[in-house]
Amino acid sequence: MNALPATQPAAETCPPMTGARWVVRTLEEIGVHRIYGYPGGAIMPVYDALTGSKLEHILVRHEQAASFAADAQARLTGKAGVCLATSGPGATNLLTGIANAFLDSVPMVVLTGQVPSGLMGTDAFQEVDVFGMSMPVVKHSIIIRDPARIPELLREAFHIAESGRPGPVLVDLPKDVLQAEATSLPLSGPRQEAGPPSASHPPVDAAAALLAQAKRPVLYIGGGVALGGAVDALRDFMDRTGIVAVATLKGIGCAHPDAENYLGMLGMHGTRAANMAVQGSDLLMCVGARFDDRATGRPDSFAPDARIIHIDGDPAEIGKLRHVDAAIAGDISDALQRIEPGYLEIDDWRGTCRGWAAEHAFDYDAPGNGVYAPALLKQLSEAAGDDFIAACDVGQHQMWVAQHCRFARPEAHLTSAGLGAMGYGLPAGIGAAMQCPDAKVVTVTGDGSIMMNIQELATARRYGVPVRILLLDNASLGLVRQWQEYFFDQNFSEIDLYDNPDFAEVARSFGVEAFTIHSRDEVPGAIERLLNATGPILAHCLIDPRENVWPLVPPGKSNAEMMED
Amino acid sequence: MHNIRIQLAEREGALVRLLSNIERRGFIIESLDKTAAQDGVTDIAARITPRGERSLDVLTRQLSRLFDVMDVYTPMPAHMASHAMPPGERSCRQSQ
Ligand SMILES: Cc1ncc(C[n+]2csc(CCOP(=O)(O)OP(=O)(O)O)c2C)c(N)n1
Repeated sequence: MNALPATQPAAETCPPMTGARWVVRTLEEIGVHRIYGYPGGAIMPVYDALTGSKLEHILVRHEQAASFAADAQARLTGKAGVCLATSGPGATNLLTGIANAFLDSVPMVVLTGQVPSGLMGTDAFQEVDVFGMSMPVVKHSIIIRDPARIPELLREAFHIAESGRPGPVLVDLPKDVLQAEATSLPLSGPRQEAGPPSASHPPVDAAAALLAQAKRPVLYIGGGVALGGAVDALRDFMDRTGIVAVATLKGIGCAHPDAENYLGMLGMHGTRAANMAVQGSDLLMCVGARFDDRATGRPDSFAPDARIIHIDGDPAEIGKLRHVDAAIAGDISDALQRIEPGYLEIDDWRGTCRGWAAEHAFDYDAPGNGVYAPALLKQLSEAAGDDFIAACDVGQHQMWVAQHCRFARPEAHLTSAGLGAMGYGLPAGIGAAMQCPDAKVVTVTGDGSIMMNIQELATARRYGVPVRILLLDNASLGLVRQWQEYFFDQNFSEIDLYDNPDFAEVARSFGVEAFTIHSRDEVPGAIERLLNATGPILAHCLIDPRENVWPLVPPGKSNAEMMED
Repeated sequence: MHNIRIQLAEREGALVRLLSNIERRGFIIESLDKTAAQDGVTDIAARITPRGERSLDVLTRQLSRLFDVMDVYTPMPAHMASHAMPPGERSCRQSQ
């Protein structure tokens, strides 16, 4: 099908080179500038070929960090991030990052060394079947068996990763293939641009008709909007129709942050207004979202009276979890532009929703003098303005970022949404700050999460990466503690991190500037110091361990049953 | 029980990827047939049963987006066709 025949004659013959050199040369030609990796036995031929190449290789201190940093770069650029590791433990360390990219549809090309072909399948030293192990969490994967096919197959890997619904592609490279000499067709020129997911124009009349009839319509925005390059079309649609909108964790930043009819995130930690609007809607227009259980709560009680319009770039998402009344699979931007119901006659409904938003707006006047994390995050993101990029870890702090930070665009909110992988924040912050050194990149992390990849302080230091780390330290695994408090009878089991190290000291020992704050009056100074930093910096911020994320839909409950403090 | 037929590119891992996808998406493979590859393409015929409420139509689209899968055929009963996708794009994989 897509593959070129291996025997295609070379248009311009090249002197023979090793497979490893073909790998490096192809990456250069494709237009890759930076790769994240960690060397080891089976991948050593590629490291040998890297010296003197145009590629910038960033040496991380754990392969998982290579995959997360490459993932962040890809989210910001829309181009596949590249990470590189050796066979066996190097490859298994990448798996979490591959799964992360898969669940969030991030284009990534993962290069792994493999034991020599003849030893594959013999349980050789550092042999694991990473091709098999990663299969459920890749968009595609290949083992390259012939060095002459490296240029063609690597190009194909990038194309698959970036086209349609993006995702990770694993390329396993046996050591003998990397070492063998081959003459190959250089296939010169930059990579092929991935076009829109579909060139067809599926009918939108049914959707437009449903919308025109609806009395209480709500737009439900997911990450597919950004993936489909449909942010402008979406904002325009919201302006044209006056429809109220909610977003998933990955849909944050798609609506204009100051749009009057945007009600915020829906779901487990969504705003009350967003969940009330969805529950009360008679038409839910789902755009690039997938009815994820964190967004829907109990599925049978989600938006119970709503008919559904589902627009998605990936046809396989349509009807997966909810019956659909009108489906449009294809280019989201194109579809949104063609749906023209005019300005909707829904003044009462819009007023009701905006009334809920006003009534249940977040209150930032917390008692006491301690640092109130939601207020700090709001102030920080507003101070950083449209240059703000957050790289979150996972836990309460992640939800506070989603609830309280202002995002001018969806790419600026880097979060492990589908996988929820603690440890994402620091490597993702590094990847983001290397890609966008002039932006205000802030890693927001917790005292649990930071320890999952704290070794990456060394990477930040080595390359002078301007990543600002805001560590919200509640001396516990806060989100787990919150669940134990409410859903496990306050049986607090293994969540206490009372014996954390002094994180500022830890950072300094890596050569990273750091300071600690305890009280609210230190917040403005801390924000200024963070945003003015030109290299890596860590703000260790002590917060009240009893603080929780509100509102909260209890697991297994309907989104109508939100708990509040 | 449904009959499903898949045209598959004969590549390393393609068969395993296809079968594990069918299982992971909630279907039991009751019986299975594979032809020898011709011009790099092989035909898979399977009888599958959903483990609970899984739609064959959705599975068809989930399989269609696999890079190795060239086509999926399911004789679809009329009562199911009404819930199926309207004509248009079935695969999100782009041809080059
Ligand atoms: C790798 C990984 N292990 C475990 C979890 C489960 N988990 C989710 S949130 C959380 C606590 C996070 O603690 P911390 O980073 O301190 O953030 P906080 O909730 O306190 O803000 C845990 C253990 C996870 N999401 N990822």
